[in-house]
Amino acid sequence: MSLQIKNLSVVTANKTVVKNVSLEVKPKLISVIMGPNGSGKSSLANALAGHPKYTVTTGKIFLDATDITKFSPEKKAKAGLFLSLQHPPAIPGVSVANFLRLAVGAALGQPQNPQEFYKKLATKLKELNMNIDFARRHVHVGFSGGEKKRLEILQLLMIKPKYAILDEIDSGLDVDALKVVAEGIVAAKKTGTGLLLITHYNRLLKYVKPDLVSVMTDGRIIKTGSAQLALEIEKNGYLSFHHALRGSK
Amino acid sequence: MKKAIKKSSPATPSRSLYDTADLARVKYRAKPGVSEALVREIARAKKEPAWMLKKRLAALALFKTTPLPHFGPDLTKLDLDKITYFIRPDTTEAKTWADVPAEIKNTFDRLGIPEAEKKALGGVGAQYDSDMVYHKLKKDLADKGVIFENMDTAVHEHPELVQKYFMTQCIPINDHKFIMLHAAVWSGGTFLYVPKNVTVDLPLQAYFRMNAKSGGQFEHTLIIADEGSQVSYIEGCSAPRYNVNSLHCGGVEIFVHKNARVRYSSIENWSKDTYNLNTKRALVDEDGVMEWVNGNMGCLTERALVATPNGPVSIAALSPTQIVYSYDERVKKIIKSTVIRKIFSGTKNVYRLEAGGREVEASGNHPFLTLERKKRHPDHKKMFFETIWKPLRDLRFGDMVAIAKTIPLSGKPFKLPALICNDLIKSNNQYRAFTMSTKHLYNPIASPSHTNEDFMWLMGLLIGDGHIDKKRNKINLATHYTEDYRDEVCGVLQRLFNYTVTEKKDRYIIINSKTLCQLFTAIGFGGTASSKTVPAWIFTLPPTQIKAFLAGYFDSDGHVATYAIAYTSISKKLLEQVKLLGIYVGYGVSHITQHRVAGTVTILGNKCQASDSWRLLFNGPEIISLPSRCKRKRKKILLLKTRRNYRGASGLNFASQVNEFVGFARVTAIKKIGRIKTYDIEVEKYHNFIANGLIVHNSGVTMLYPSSILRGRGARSDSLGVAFAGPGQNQDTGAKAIHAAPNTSSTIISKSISKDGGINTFRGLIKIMPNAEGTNASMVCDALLIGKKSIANTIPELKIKNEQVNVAHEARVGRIGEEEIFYLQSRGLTEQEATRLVVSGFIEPIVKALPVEYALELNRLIEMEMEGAVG
Repeated sequence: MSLQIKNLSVVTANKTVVKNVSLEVKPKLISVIMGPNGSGKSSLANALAGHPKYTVTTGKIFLDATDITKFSPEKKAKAGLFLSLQHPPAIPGVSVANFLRLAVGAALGQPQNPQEFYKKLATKLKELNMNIDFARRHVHVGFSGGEKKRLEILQLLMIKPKYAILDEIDSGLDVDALKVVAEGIVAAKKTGTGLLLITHYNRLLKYVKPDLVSVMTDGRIIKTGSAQLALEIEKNGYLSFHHALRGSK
Repeated sequence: MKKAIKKSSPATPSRSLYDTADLARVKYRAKPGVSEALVREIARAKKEPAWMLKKRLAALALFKTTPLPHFGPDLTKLDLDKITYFIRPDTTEAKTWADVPAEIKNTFDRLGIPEAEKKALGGVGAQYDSDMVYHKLKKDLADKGVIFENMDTAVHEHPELVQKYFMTQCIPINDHKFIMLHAAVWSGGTFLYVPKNVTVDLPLQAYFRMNAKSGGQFEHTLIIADEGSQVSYIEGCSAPRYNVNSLHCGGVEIFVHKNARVRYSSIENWSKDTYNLNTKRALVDEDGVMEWVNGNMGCLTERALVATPNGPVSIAALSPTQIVYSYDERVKKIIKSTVIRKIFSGTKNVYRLEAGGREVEASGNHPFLTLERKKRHPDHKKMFFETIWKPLRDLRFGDMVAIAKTIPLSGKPFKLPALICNDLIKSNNQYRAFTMSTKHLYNPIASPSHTNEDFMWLMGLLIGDGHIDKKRNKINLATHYTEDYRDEVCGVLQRLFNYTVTEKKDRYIIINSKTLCQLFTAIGFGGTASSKTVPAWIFTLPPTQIKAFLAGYFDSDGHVATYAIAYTSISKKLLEQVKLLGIYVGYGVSHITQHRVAGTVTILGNKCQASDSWRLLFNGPEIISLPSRCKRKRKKILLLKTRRNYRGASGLNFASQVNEFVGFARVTAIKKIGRIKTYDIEVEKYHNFIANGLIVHNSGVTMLYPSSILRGRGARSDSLGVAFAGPGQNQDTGAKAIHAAPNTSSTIISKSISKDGGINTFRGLIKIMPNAEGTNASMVCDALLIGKKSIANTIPELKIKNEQVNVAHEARVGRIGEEEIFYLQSRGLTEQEATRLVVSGFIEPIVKALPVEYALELNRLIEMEMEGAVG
C-alpha cells in the first residue's frame, strides 16, 4: 500500500527533466522533495498526474500495486491521486462550490446531491475559518496567492485522496496562510492521505514535520533522509550537497 | 453536471419533443399565396375594424411593389406563394387548462407549458398557429391594470392603444419588404401593456409554436411599458421539423417609456428549416432601460446525390431520420449516421468542384475536407499533412480534397418478384372460344428468389447491350458468335431460369420468354438505349453483386483503354449512375467526357444518324478484380497499367491520411455554374456526408440582430447575446444601438463559442446621432475557441456623429487552454466534461441573466452541441 515511483524518467520539450527517480509515498506519512529551482521537482509532479506535456520515457508508477503509468489524468484522479498545481489556472464563470461538487463526485465515482454537498462544504469552510462567500467565487479568478493555496487545500480535504502531491503549496504565502495550509496538510495526513510535498524552502516544514526528506537536483534524487536533512539544507544550501556528490565521484 | 440538469428540469423541453407534428385540428386553412382576397379574408375572419384592414391593404400594396432586400441571407427563391398565410385551429380561446382540446394540450404538455405555470410564472400565453388557445393572467396582475392579451383580441378591446402603437413609430409598415408582408397578413401574437409605475415581478412568457406544415407565422408582439413601469418578457420558440420550409416573419415592437424598464429574453431554437426573419426593435424614451437577452443556435447549403445504404439519394429528397454515410474523422472510417434535419437554403451562386473524377455542385460557403501541409515546428524541414475543413470559396485548383474511395456496403441480395407465368392461352376456332394450356409445350421458367452474381452479371449484359422487345415478348442480348462468353450467357440462363437458348444469331442471341421480359421490366431494366437507367435497388446489393453487374456491363459494352477500362453510352445519366456504383465498390472513376458529338456516322459501311455519346473510365488497382467473364478482355485488364490509389500526388505522399475508405485528390476544376436552389442536411454526430463521392460538411448560418433606438435623454439599452458554432457552422449574430438623444448609454455584450472549425461572426453597430452628446456606449465581444481551426470574427461598426461621447470597444478571444483542461482532469473530470464546464463558465454571465428554465434550456442546448467530437 503505497504510491511507488520506480526508475522514472520524464521528457518535456525534448529535454529530459527527471532522470531515473525512484520514490515511495506511504499513507499517513509526509514525504518532502526539496531542491533548487529548475531541478525537475514540478516536472516530476506534473508527470505523476499525467500532464500531456510531460512524457514518461522509462519507469513505472504504481498506486497500491496498480500500474497507473499510462492512465489518463482523470483515471489517475479516480484511482486516488491528487495534484495541487503550483499555479492553478483560473476558470471564469465556474463557482468554487460547483467545481468542488463535480470534483468530489468524480473522485468518489458518484454524483453529489447539490443540497447535501453544499451543507458539507459550508461546515468544512467553517472549520477552515473561511467565509462562505468563498464558495460562490469563481475558481481562482482574481484569487490572491494565499486564496489559491487555500482552495487547493480545501479540495484536498474534500476529495480525501489516497495520495496527494502538493507542488509549492507554501510559495507566496504570508504566515497566517501558511498556518492554514500546514493545518490542512496535517488534517489530510490524519485522514490517511499519503503526502508528497514539493518545496524549496524550509518554511512550511516548521509547521509540518516531514517523515522523509529527499533532495533533488538536476532531475535526480541525490540524497534521502529524515527531517534533519531539511535543516542541513537550511544551513548549508543545496550547493553543498551537489558538491559533496561531485566530490564523492 | 449533465445529470443534475436533467433531474432538476422536468419542464425543460428537449429537441425530440418538438419533432412530431400533431394531427392538428385545423378549422380554416387559407389557400397558399398572398393576395388582396386573402388579406380581406383574414380581416373578416377576425372581424377586424376598418382601420386595421386599411393598414393591411396599404402594406400589401407596398409589398407588391418592393423588391427583395439585398442585405442578409439570400432569400430570392423563398417561395412566398407556397406558404399558407393563415390557419386557424379548430378551437376558440380557452380560459382554463381543462378546456383546451386534447391534442393541443398534448403539444403544450410536451413543451412544458403547464409546468411553467405551476411554477407560478406571471401568465402564460401560448400561440397555437394563429390563435391563442390558452391565455391566462394572474389575477393580481389584472388588478394592477396590466393587459396581457392575444394581439387579435387587443385590436378589439384596446383599439386606442393598438391604433397608437401598432406598426406606427417603432416598426412602420414601410420598413422593409418582409415587414410589409408581415403587416398585411399578421395574425396572433401578444399584446402587453404595463400601466404607469407598475412593476411586474415575475417574467411573462409566451410560447409560439408553428404546427401546420408550411404554416407562416406572422405573430406580432407589442409591448408597451408605460412611464416608470417594469416588466420582463420571455419568448420561447420551437417549430416541428418539416421538409417544406416554413417562414417565420414576426415582428416585435417594444416601447419603453420614460423611466420604464423592459427585459426581453429569447432563445432561438427554431427548427432549422425555418426561415427566421424576425424584426425586433425597441424605442427607448427618457431614462428608460431596454435589455435584450439572446441565446441562439442555428444552421446552411448544398445539392447532390448523397450516399445512403439505399443508394444515392438526391439531397432534396432526403428527410430526417434517414440513414446516410458519414466520415468519422477520428477513426478515419465511413460509417452510418442519421439525418437530423434537412434545410432548403435558398437559391445561391453555385460552383462545380471537380476532383478525383468526382464532381459536386455546392455554394461557396460549403465546407470540404481538405489536406494541408504544415510544419510541426517552424524550424523543422519536414512537412506533415493535416486534414482541415475549408469552404469551397477558399479552395484552389490543385488543392487536395477528401474523396470516399469506397463505401462499406452492408448490402443484401435483392428479393426478386414472383414470376408471372401465364401458360393458358385464350384462342378461338370456328366453333368457339377456348383456353389452352401450353404447359406441355415449354420447360417452365424458374427463377432464383434473390439476386445472385450470375443474375447481376446478366443484368449488366442487359443494360449494356440488351434490348427487351415488349411487343414481341423477346429479349435480344448482343453477344457476337466469336465472343468467348456466349456459352457463359447460355449457361447462366440455363442455371438461373432453366431456359435453354435455341435462337442464336451471328451478333446476338434471343430469349423468347414473356415471363422473363416481364420480370426484367418489373425490376427496372425495361428502358431503351437512351432511357436505360440503373435501378436504385442495385445500390443496396452486396459489393460482389454490384461488381458482377459492372462486369456484365463491361463484358457487353465496355472496352479496355490505355490506363483504364471504359464504358461508352449515349445516356449520360446511365453513366453517372454507373460511376456512383463504381465509387460505392471502390473503383477509381473519371469524369464523364463527351465521346462523340451527335451527327452522321458510318457504321459497318452504313451511314446513320448518331446521338451524343459519353464515356466513363474506371481505373485504380481495384479494377483488376472486376469479375469479367470475357476471357479476352480479362487478359487485357490484367495487363493494364493503372494506379490510382489517392495516396499521393505529384511527388507528395500522404499515405498516412489515406485508408481503404478515404483518399485525397487534387481539385482539377472549380467552375461557376450560376444560381441554383440549394439544400443542406444536418447529420448527427459527424456533421458531414458523402455527396457524389466527395466528403462534405453540413453547414449553418444564423442571423439575428435585435436593435434599440434610444430616443429619450438618459435612455439605456443592454444587449446580451450568446452564439454557438460547431463544426462547419457559421453563426452571424449581432446587436444594434442607435443613440438619438443626449446622455444615452448602451452596452452590447456578445459571447461566442466556436468549436472544431465553427465560425462565429459578430456584427455590432453603435450609431450616435449628432444630437446625442454625453453618450456612453460600449461593445464587448468575448470569443471562446475550442479545438483547432475554430474562428471568431468581430465586425464592430461605430458611426459616431458627435464628438462629446465615450465609446469603448473591446474584443477578447480566448482559447480553452491545456492547463485548464488538465487541471480539471486531474480532479477526475473527463476531457469532455472539463471542456463543457469551461464553456458553461464562459456563458455564465448570460445564463445568469436568464430565468431559470431558460438558463437550463440554454445550458442544455450548449451541452447538446458540445456532445460528440470533443478530443
